[in-house]
Amino acid sequence: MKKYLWFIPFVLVPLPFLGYPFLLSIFVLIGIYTIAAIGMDVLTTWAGQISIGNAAFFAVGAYTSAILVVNFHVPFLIAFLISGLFAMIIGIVVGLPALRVSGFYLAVVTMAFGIAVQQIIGVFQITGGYNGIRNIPVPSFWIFKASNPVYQYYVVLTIIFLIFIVLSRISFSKSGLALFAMRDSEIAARAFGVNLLKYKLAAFAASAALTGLAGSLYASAIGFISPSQFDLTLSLDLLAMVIVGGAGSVMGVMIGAAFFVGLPFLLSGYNISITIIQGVALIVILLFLPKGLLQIFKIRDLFKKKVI
Amino acid sequence: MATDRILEVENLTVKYGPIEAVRGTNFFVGNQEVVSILGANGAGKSSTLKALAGLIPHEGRITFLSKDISRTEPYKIPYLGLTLCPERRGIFPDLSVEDNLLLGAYTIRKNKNLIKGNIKKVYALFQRLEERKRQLAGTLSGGEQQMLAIGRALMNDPKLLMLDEPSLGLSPKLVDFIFDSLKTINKSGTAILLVEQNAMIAMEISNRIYVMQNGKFAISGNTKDVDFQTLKMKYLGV
Amino acid sequence: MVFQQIIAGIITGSLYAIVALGLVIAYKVTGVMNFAYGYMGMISAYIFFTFFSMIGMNYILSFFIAIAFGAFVGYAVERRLLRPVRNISPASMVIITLGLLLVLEGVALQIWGNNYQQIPNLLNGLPLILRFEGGIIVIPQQNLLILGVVTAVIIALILYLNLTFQGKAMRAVAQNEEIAKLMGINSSLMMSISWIISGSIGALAALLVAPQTFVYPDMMLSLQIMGFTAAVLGGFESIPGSIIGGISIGIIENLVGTYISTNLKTTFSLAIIVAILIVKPEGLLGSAKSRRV
Repeated sequence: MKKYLWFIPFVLVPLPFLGYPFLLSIFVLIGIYTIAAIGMDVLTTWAGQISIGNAAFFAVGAYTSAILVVNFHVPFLIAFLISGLFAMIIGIVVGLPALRVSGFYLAVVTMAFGIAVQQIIGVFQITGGYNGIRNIPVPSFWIFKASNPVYQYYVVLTIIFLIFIVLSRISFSKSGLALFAMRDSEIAARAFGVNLLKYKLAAFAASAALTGLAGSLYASAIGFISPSQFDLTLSLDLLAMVIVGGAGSVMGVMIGAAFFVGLPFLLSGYNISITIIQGVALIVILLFLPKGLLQIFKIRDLFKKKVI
Repeated sequence: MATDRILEVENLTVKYGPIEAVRGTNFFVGNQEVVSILGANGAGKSSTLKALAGLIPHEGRITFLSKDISRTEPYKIPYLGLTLCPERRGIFPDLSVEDNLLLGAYTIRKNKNLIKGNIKKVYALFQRLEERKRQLAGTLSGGEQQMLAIGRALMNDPKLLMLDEPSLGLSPKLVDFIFDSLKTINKSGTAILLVEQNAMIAMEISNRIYVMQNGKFAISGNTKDVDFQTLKMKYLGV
Repeated sequence: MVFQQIIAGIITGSLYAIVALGLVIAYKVTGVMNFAYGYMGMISAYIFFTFFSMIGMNYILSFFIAIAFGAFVGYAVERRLLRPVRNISPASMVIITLGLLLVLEGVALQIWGNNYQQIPNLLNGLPLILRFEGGIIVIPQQNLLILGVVTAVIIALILYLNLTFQGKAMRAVAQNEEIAKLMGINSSLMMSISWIISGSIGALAALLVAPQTFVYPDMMLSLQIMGFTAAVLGGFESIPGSIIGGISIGIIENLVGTYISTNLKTTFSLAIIVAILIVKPEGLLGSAKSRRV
């Protein structure tokens, strides 16, 4: 149980901000991006694959959820689960051919996939074309009306917590060991009889599913989606969150997401382009702090055993 | 005597992390000499040569032609007349045979006539290379690739030619041919530092030998003073 | 009509081909896939815009200043950003280029804003018109210029890599850096040179395409993606691979755009390419073994 204790502070986070719904909604966004970035982390850190097309899964999740809720009046919870499932299916369909190539080639293929999905979404009627979908209703959870960002915050936090539990279970299981072996050396993993394609595909599917779930939450939290929100920059941001925060740890990914989501709000008063700071952060981290911001806070060692 | 030494190595140490592959060795190569470093696989022979060529970090002092080259960048070393012919026929597989040879002459690239002369010399030594000069080096047989590697190392007129396991994976007949060629090369004035597992053939052409074991020299001396049978039994694990 | 589209495809494809070439040269010599490549070129297009349109300098002079700037950016990126992590982590190098993409995009926004800036064609004369039994083909002069410049660059590059000592030395470094050092080749210098060449080619591609796309921060995105795809299709190995890859994608894209759907032309082209990769993961002309990676 001890390894879950670090979550407690996050439960308390909204209390001082109860009177500031805008700030709370930023925390909600950070949580949503954390889920998507965990999806990226599963792929990069666990399976050693680079994807720069995960925005596509985010888009798939967001659109599936929005269409189900807006056009078919499906309850949000069901739409949410379906969007994760649908993103996972797409992940497997794309993953099967994509994972035949590896390393940089996979990066190129995923980049192509990301661009293609963005383009396809822009063409169809049901997705609203380039105008997107507006007025996505705020979901209600049983007795809660989730328009209150405090509820949204706890919903998102609960989801992160559940993901964390599942991930830490996996990392100590046989499958987790197989994944790590694969990341460290494909040849060694093959020598131990690890079915590489199966595990790669599993990692890819998990990554897609998590990103899709995050997309679904995003659509309902923002209330408006259009193809331009799911561009290459989003894919890069997701990758950057993992690296800037600290790969291989839910805590690190949270820090990364907070950095990338929070920064634009902090700097909105200044006339400075956000991408410069994000890009510089990414480069500086890679050159000087290969383990991410987590390293600065010196808390990595504290959490190392608990996270992965 | 010291002036006759073209290469002088003092207290050479090579470490791979915590493992010491070469542990404080001292040796030298005299002018126009053939010297062999013998030993079993993993004794530290190849690391010694790589350190001399500047390819791996090392401690100790390496003097070549009275110049300290311990800290010299690897690509500057062939300019001084010290050339390493790498092991496993490190040739450029996607370049033609002739282009491989030309790259061997990279340090003298300004002197077109010298290059032409040297290519002729190499072709005289290894006729097979001339027959295949337009072919991609990767398509050559193992023996031809070794000839190419040696020929390429000769292209910049080295004062000292270092060879890493030239007999590796070759048929006995080819080994004889390669070592005959080394003799010819030595006669024309090039000193040779040879690293070999095949002690017998190496001793045939060497003036002196060093036998390496666990990163140190177990025996050294003139070839004629070393009893081959004892050597074989005690140090080479044959 | 088909011929017209094929010609148009060859023109676009030739741009994809040189972008692929620039990527492949840097990749072969230093092992880095440069995801900021198009954006580096984009900055050069803005440099041209600044000198030509804002300061009013001569077209040709501005053109060469912009290309020199591209060369400098290539040099600086490799030397200052990638070299330090070169022996630590190859994956970091790729991600650094992704970070650079974000930085360059932001820098362009910051300095030049979000407006689409226009750059005139160098050649605005009457288009070349070919009449034959099946119909007519119209080729604007600017497109002829693109084709001519690209062909010249490709020929120059082939001659450089195959006939000069330095070019051969560069290929040697690409094949085996350590052995190249044993030949006395300054591999560090060769890496810089490869990025200088790559950087100038990227700038050139941006300048050639700018009159059509206009100049804006994401102007090179599609060219970069297609350049990558062309390089992958060609096996990320050779010059002929990049050229064939680029031209075929250009033609596929134009035919799809005309006969299937303009909006989905990128998607269809990418789908075709993914299909090719499924059948032949090493690309059309690549060899099964991969030396770098």
